Amino acid sequence: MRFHHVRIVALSILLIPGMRAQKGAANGEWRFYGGDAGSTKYSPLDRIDASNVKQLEIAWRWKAENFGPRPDYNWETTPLMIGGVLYFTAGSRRDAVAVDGATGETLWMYRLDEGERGDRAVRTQNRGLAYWTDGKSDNRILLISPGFQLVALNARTGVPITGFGKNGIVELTEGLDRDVVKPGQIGSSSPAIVIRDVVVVGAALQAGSAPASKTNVPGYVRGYDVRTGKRIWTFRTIPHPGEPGNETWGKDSWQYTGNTGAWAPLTGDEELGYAYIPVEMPTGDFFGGTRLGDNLFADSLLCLDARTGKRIWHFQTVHHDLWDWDLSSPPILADITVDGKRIKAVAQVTKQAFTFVFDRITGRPVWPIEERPVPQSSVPGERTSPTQPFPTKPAPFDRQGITTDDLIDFTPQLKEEALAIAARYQMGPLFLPPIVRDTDGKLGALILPHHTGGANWPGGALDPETGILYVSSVTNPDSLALVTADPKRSDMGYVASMGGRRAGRPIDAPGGMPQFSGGEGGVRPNMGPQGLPLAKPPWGRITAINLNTGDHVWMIANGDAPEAVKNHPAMKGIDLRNAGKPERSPLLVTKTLLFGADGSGLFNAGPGAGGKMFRAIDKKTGAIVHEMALPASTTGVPMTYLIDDKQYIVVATGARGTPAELVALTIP
Amino acid sequence: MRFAPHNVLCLILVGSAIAAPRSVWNGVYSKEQAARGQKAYNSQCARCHGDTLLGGESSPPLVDRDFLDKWNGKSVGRLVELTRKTMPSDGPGKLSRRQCVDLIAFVLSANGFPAGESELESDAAVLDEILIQPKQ
Repeated sequence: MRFHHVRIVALSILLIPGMRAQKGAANGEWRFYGGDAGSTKYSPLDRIDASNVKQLEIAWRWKAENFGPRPDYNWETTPLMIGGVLYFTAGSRRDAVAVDGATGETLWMYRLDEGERGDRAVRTQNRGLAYWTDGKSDNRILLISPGFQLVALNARTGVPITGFGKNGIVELTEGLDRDVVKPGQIGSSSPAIVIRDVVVVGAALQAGSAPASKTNVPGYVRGYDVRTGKRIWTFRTIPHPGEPGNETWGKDSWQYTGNTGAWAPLTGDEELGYAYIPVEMPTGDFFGGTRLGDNLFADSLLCLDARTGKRIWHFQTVHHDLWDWDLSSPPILADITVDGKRIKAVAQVTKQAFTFVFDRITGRPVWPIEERPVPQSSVPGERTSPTQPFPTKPAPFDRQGITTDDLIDFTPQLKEEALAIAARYQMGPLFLPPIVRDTDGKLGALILPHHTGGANWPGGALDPETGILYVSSVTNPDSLALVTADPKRSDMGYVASMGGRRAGRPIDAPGGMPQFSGGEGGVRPNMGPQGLPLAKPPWGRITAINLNTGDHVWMIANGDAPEAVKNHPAMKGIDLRNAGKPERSPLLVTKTLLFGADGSGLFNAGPGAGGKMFRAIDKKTGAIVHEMALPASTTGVPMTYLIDDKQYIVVATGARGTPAELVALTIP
Repeated sequence: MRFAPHNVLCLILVGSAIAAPRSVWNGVYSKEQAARGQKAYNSQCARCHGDTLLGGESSPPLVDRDFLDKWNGKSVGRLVELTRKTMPSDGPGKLSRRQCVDLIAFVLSANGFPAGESELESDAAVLDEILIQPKQ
């Protein structure tokens, strides 16, 4: 591979003049999960363009089926490409793998059998790896294992680097202010990021709909020396007494509350030396009576000095979260010009469909963000924040709040049925809080976007040449309802109850479950009439937002409607071409095109989500330039690179029952 | 030999007792089996259904009222088959029937149904005869 490496670097310097000055993935490589440290998912490559994209063919496929003790299907990885070699996590054991980017040949693999701590991994999804080089001969791959260990590997051989931690491994469960951290309590699904020779590590914990306890492990952000593995700093996302933000935790809740990790991919600015960290909510997704107060730094975008962990600035996007509106995607860096003023900005898209845009040096909002009064909770022991932040610009990229006008009305009968269903729930604006099931005769509070809607880990992509942000989102109202927690199962007081909608409903009851296949198989059933979606389409969309003006440029549906909806007898004769699949399109943007796909439909997606279609989209208009079916659904965010003057696009695929594989596309 | 009418009645009663379907209250699984099932649950199911079995973001609870209301009157066999065919949701069909039976033994245990001397069998016909129902 040494030959490859030299040849590729030489070619890229010759063939892509001036690229070093551009943002995005440089030199025909893809060195970060998000392309560059700024998570733009942009490459200036242009070999594949509107004139030839129709000729795209599969160059090679790499199968992950035999990696790990059981096949992986929902493979959220995005490979890195350095020197012609792809590096990625693979399989249900999250092995690290190096593959020849031109041929798909496996070069090495690293497998860590962690025993019970691996078996009990809090998150089995894996999104990839981090890379570091000293610019000479020391090139490292950083893996976060399912059992939460940080592993440094020699990028050339895959062998652990002995001078890093203990034989190449650093224990990540230490230093979390807990005497015992049990297997299955904390881990990570996203890669670390290396900024200024510091490996910045986030954390993921178990979903908190119905936690066993208000006491959990805190998901602190940590920085490790990339050369030695030594922990340099810890940023407590739940501050201790004397630390700023501790006053936002009622009573002693800072002592026992956990979560508040950064589970999404991370972002950084090497030039500034800052890391941008998207933080999730604290323990208890829908009930915060055990943690009264604003709960800093939950749901905050944190800007930390990567060398010291010192907080430069922060912004909390949800105060005292009761909706599971984690910051779920990497912040995106953008250098924009607003009213003639050049701004180094960072944009954060959210589950509740906002785009928060800040000056990334100062944390000052680019457009005013207003604190507005919001509805208050009726749940005993709960105390809602009186206000929540609303960006005045850009406009939300998906619908927020729900009224009867939002319900499907394809036919008078469907409208009537939708109204009857909705009448069983409380409806209202954004930030409508959850209710106790059966309060005032209502099963739950209907939330739009629900925590499974809006944007999520696929996030967005940014074209640095135009300042246009592309974001994908899902429109799916769903119910939030609480029930009293059985003290023998949980000390939370209240836990979620699947929105109240499954209560006492036998699986055979007419209309009780969707008519579509898969409704019992882990797919979230639709709430609407006859198993159809409750809200009007589009159910999945891509929105283009000009970050120089804050204005939306265009919006398109994510393909057409799910087959199950199109084939539903009640939908006969109804035009559903622009209804969109209820899944987030993973996005890649290049100099010439925007690439998207139906998405996986494998996690928190509605019936019929996901599909095989991969699309090339006109960046200016949103017009579909080309679409082609891949062997399975796209499960990861695509990436692109150049080898021997040939541009490749590589994307992870899989489907329910179809084991994961990487697919490489190129123009033959 | 002549049967007296009361003897015939006795035989009918004995016959009915043998044919009567068992329920989850009859100690249909063993503690060891539930422990095996718990191990499998921890690695295969807990990440969605939670340590508490109370469910997750898109995963229904496997204990208490919501679960029992939904499964009341259905057979253990049906629950095993549903698990085997649809779980784990992203890659169903890879768990063996034996593993699924162990998992369900753990779910029954978590719902407070009593353990017995022998293990829950894998035989579908036998499982279909065991009903999930409230305490009579």
